[in-house]
This record gives sequence, C-alpha cells and structure tokens, in this order.
Amino acid sequence: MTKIDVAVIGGGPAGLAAALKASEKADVMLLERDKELGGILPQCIHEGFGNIILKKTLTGPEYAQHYIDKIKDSNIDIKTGTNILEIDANKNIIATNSEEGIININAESIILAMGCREKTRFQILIPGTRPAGIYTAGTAQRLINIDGLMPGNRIVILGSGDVGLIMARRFTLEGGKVEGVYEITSKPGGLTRNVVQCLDDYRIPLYLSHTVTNIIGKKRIEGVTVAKVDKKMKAIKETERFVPCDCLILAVGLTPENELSKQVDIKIDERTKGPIVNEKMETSVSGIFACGNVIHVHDLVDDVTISAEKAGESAAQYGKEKPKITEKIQVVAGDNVEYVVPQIINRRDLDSITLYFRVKKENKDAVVVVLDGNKKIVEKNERIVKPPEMLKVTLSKETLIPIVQNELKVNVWSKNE
Amino acid sequence: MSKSITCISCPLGCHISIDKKRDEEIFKGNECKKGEEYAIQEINNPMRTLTTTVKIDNGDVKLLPVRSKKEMPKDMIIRGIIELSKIKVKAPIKCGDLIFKNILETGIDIIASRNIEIK
Repeated sequence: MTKIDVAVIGGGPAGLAAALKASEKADVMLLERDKELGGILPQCIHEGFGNIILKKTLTGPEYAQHYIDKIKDSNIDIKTGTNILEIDANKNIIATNSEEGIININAESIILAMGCREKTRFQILIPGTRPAGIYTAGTAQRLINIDGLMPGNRIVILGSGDVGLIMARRFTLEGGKVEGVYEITSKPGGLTRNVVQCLDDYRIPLYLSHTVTNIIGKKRIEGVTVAKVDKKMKAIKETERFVPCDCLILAVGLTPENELSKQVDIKIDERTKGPIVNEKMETSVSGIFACGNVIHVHDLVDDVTISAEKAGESAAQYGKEKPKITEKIQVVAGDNVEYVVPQIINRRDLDSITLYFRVKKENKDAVVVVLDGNKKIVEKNERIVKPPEMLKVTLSKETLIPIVQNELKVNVWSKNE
Repeated sequence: MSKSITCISCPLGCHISIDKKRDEEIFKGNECKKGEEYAIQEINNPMRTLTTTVKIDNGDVKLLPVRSKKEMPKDMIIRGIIELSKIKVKAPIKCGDLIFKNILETGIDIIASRNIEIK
C-alpha cells in the first residue's frame, strides 16, 4: 500500500495545474491513463490557449508544455500509462499499469480531473447503416495531428461545437474538402471567433437548423442525407437531400467523464453532468475534490486551470485542520440560467467567490442579477449572453457575509423587460 | 464594392458591412470603435497564425506541431503549410526551437510547439 497526501486522477490541463498547486504544500501523485501528459492539449495544435492566465496566445501543445516542464521539475510522483480501476470514499485507489501490475494507493485526499468525453452517434440516434468513416471530431483531430492519418477526403460535419469548427479548418488545410457543417439549432454551437476563423476564412458553408437524417454506405460511408428542421427540431421531409462524402464527423457536444465519481456515489448535478462542488471544489464526499471539465465543460483552458489550482490548494489543506460544521448556501440557476458552479458555498471562512454559469438562450443587453431572497446583491451588465460563451460573476467577501437566506439565485434578465 | 465581415473583438460578433465610396470606407453594423479597427485590418491586411505539423525522424511521437512566431498574411497560410509539408526534422526538439526560417520570404519564422525526445 502506497501512502500519499494527494492523488490526482488525470494528467490533462486540470490534473497538471491541480497537482502543481497541491505539491506546494503536500506530497502528490499524478495518475494518467495515456502514455504522455497533457490530456487533449497535444492534439489541439491551433492557437488560442493561455490568454487569461499566461497573457499570451499559445497553441495547445505549448500550453501543456508550460505545465509539463514545471511538473517534471517538481517532486510529484508521475505515473503515466496507468488506469484507475477503483476508488472508494476512504480514498483508497486501485490502479494498474504494465510495469507495476496492480497498485494500491491510500490518499488523504483525491482530486478528480478526468475531463470529458465526446458524445457519439448512439447518443444522438442517427439512423442508417454502420459503415467505416464515422468519427467524433476529437478522434479525427487525434488521427490527423498525432498519428498523421487522414480520416477522409470529402467530409460532412454534424454539429458546430468548437472542436467541429476547428476540424473543418484542419481538414481543409490538410487537403480535404469539407462539404458543410450542419447544425440542428438556429445558432452556431461554438465561439464566434471559431466560426469566423475556421469556416468563413475557408468559405466552408454552415447550415443552421439542419441535421443529418440518414447514413448511407455498406463498408465505407458513401454519403448522408441532410434536411432542414422545423422549430421542434424535427426534420422536414421535403427538404431532404443527399450529400456524398467518405467521412462523417460528429461534433455534437461533450459530457463530463464521471464513471469513477459514480463508484463512490458522489452527487452529480443533473444539468452539468458533473459532481456538485462547493467553493473549495470539494464534492459531496469529504476529501474528494474535482476540477476542470469533469465538473462542467469549459470553453477556455484558462478557466480549467483556475478551477484546478483551487482544487489543488484545497486538497493539500484537507485533513490538516478539522472541518467545522457549517451552514451551507445553495447556489441555484434562476431565469435563463442553465447551471451555476459551484453549487454550494460554505458560510465558514467566506472569501470572494467567482460563480461560473451558462445561459439557456441568447439575449442582447442582458443583466446578471444575483438574488438573496428578493434582495439584489450583485448586478452586472452584459451586452450579449450566448449559451456557448461561459459567464462569470464574482461575489466579494463583503457581499457574501450579510447574506440572510440559505439560497442564492443567479438570474439573467433582459434589460428591456 | 461592398463586403461583410463578422467582428471577433468581443462575443457580440457584430456583422459589419464595408462600403467603399471613392477613397472612403463606410462601416455599418458595428456597435463600437473596436469593430471599425478590426474591419479596417480585416479588409486591408487580414493576419492569422499558421499552425500545422511537420514530420519528425526518430522522435517519441510521429509529428511535431509547429506555429508561426507571429501572425502572417491570411492568404499565405495554405502556401506556408504546403512548404512545411515538404520538410522533415530530427529529434530531440525543444518547444520554441526554430524549425523553418523566413517562411515564403515573409520574414516570419516557424517554431516548435512542444518538446520531442529521441525514441
């Protein structure tokens, strides 16, 4: 049995930052399933990482390298190629790798940093045959940027999330022909910057309110049928047409990866699909913390790093002082808010807290209002709010201390109403 | 001549149309001054960072991700990538190493985006 202060599960951007922060005050072990550290970042060769934290625009591999260099200079025990089989509420971990066989670890605290997974064809139920040539956007990205393989030459992309948009450009630059990006909703799923620099720059058509209705092909995909959808997102039969392709890319969203969290009955938020956490990034199981995309899917890696550093700091502190019983303030999603993280604030040791949230619907000239009962405690104007762009509001210590109710509600209202 | 672009200076994403009358450019649709500045840059000299991969010999991974050190003219990106598809580098590589000097005579260098060790 190996004893350790903090065990971090996952060596992507969240795990790297959490492990580094925790290692300032504790002995840390970092467990990663892949053979190298960095998570998804080594395959994200495009730029746009680090604007907030590092004050420069880096590519994914550069952002990862920045943290990997620091990790390698630290005394963190790094285990790559290592799978976690089991965790329990007493912070016992059973892991395995090809060198050590079965590894039994007992940690004072655990940080979950497993990130997220892409949704697949089976989560969106596209009818048709099951030929080769259908990939999720992230898999195609790995094939092209890491393995040097081209998944297809004539490509249809379903979904306009950021990875899909980025792959539309990448396929084009590698000599492929992207027939179009089809998005079932009436708005792009990704950031405006990516719509402009990945689609508009290369004249790749974006078909909003469209979806793929059938997949055709026996061994290899030969094409798809696409159709316009009505307001209820049902395909309009008369608009159906055939689009030949040898590759269908699915960019239909991400879900937090919480198989391990469920083993220990950590409470999951129905909307984020990730663990409910408090302001210290602690889950419903004492001593198990979570950070990054395992909690909710972020748009920017910088915000992942920020949440990870908080988790790292809290996990290193865990067990060093006895937790006092404390009243809890629930943070709930109000009007036009999909979810808010963290979901719980402990009244003990209140400090300034940043709430992260997403809206359900786009709204121009909006105002974010945080309510303590009927009392507005914070108001913040936003010129526009959109579901793909994560929003933040910071509550100062002075604002939090006088709160009367045990519930805070975050609303996004239209100024014109 | 009229052209239309989407501003990426902020999440608002204004659709700006630019009309050229004689020598004057008239902007419509932008809600702030930043939009006009962005539109002028986009119309006259759009710039982007080039990112791609190059082949590598005896590395512990198959491909080296690279980038242009600075932004370069947008219409030169594809030609730049074709140039870079012809070269092969050798491990070890350090993040930031010079990979290709003065690509397409732009004065801009291509640098490595990560470390690669010898296999």
